[in-house]
Amino acid sequence: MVDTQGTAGLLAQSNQPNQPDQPSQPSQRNPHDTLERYGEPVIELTAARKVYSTGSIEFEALRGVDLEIRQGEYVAIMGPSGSGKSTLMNILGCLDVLTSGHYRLAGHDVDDLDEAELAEIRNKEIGFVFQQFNLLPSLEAWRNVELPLMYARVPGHERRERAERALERVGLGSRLGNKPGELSGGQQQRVAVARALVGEPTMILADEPTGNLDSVSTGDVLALFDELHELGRTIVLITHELEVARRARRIVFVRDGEIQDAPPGHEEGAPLREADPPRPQADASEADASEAEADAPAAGRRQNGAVA
Amino acid sequence: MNWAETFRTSWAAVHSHAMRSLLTVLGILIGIAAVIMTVGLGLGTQKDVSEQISSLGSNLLIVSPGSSTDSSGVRGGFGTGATLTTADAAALASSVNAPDIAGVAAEKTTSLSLEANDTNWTTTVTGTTPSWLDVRSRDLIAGEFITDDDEASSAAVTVLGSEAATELFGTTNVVGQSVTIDDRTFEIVGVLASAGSDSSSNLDDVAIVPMSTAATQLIGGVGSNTVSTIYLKAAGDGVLAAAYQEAQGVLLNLHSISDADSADFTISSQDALVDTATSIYRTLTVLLTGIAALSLLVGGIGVMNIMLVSVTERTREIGLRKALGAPPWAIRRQFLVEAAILGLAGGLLGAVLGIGAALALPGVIGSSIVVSPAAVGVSIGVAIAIGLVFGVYPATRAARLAPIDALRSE
Repeated sequence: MVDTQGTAGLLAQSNQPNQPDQPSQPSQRNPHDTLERYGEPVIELTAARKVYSTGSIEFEALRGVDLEIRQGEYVAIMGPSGSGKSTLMNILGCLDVLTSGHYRLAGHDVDDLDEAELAEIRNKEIGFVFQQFNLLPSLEAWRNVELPLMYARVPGHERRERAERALERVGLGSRLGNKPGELSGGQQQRVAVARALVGEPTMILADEPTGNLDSVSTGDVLALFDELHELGRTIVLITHELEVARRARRIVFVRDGEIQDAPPGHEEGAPLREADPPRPQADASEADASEAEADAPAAGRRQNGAVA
Repeated sequence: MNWAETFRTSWAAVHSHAMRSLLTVLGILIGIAAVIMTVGLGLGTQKDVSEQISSLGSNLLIVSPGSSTDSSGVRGGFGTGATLTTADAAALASSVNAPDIAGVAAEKTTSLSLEANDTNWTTTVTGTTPSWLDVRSRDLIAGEFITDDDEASSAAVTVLGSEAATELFGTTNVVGQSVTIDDRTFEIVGVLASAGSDSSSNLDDVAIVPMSTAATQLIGGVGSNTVSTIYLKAAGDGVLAAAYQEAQGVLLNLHSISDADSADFTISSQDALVDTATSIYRTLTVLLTGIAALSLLVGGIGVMNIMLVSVTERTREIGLRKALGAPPWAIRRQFLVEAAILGLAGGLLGAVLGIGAALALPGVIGSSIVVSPAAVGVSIGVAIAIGLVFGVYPATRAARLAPIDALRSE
């Protein structure tokens, strides 16, 4: 129960600004959002198609998707199961390649790369957070965290240092030597986040990061994402939970292998420039603007949900 | 991921399934132990043979009588005849007839009872000439050997082997004492240094007497001038074959036999002894090598099997490592190293077992086993190689896993 204490302390620290009054939170952030963030495109997906063939049956998982995500954005990709969002996540994570179309990640053309080159891209540009945590049970927390650095051939002492810093960053500085089995689910996911951070990747790709967590741990992990966003990290979060998606600054809906027309103000390509400048003003004047903004996709989602 | 980390990761994988890993390497373990035993037995046999050779004297040719045919026409075995005589020995000693033969010692041997101070001891009594000491490469620890004068006068003197002396007197300090052989009293003039035993007899349990004394006083029989064996010493290592040819020529000529195939004598050399030992060893080697090879094959398949299990069990881990940036070669290397560690473990354990058996077995089977560090080193290398060879397929399968499929597996 010492453990609970530690977690509680951490929760208090990270959640207090968020929890009581959600709308007030963006107002503190938005100046950063416009000035430093949203720089160069990190993800440029053009006419992306992915076709799976099982025997004679062909299934088109992605049907010409265009998507641009810029440096510093916090984007949620939502969609019901079977919508193609997992396929999209695999493509964005360079775990799979397109059947046709183009994908540029942080300026690299990913389409023609072989397995080894894709591995290097994943190592350098992407920090993965999975629903199942995917920690290696036999390794201590810091050894799990240092794994990406190992494949990046960072020397041993530097790895340990950076792994420890990353763990301290996620509030697990006192748990360096614990194995995953000795940590709670929330703590394990934070170790996974530390592992995603440690290599300083261009973007963090989180696939249902809260899917296996209780509400307290969920809040914990999402607060961590908020903080990382604040620090300028690009975060792409795949989820089917609206509550989770709402924490992002932009929501992309995937349905039947296509990106749904986003509600007003969330069109692809344009929305950032159009939506962003008003934000600081809106936030400075009316705190509810961003809540309204966050609710809009929620409404869209509800409609879709009703249809489906 | 550098080598040290790869080793650490792979070792952790092997170590986390210690019992399974141990059972996996059992085949390799037995194979390697068999290899070490085989090589050790071979080396041990060689050592035994070379000791025997040095105990018999180097450059030695042994002339044995041919077979005898008794009155009913039954042909006896080699050495049963009485075809060799002192005249043959004299002819072979001639430097004109046989220039490459440096020494000749004929032996006339029988088993007799010796008696001293109420102690009886049956030993091999050998009548021979003074050249015997040199030809057989023997030494004295006390007194002197029989002399030409003893031979000429058929003197009643004897030189005892160290064991015969000890059995009779309890000591080898017996020069000047008397011993009774076949009711005749002999003076002990010398004692032979110990030489061990050869394949057929104990070289220390003997009593040497002058040839003439043996022929006239101790061993009667068919002819007083027949001998049981003639030992020839070649003039050098390189002329053993020439000495063999000369001895054969002289004896065929003397026995008026034109065809070497129907010779009434046999000349054997140390080479023949070595050949016999080698052929026995070769049979053993083939047998043990077969066992070793089979065992190593089975062991290798075991390693492959368990590596495939390991890859399947850790599909998710492989997927994760790939997602985090492990290129295919790093995954392949990790599993190859794991297989090599299994091989190495089998090799080391096999070496321990093999060396242990090599230390324990000689007491049981009575032949020496020599552990050769080179053989141990090579076997361990082979064990690692087996791990690697049989690890290639599982490791390649791991390296080829698609990251998404691997991540999704349960």
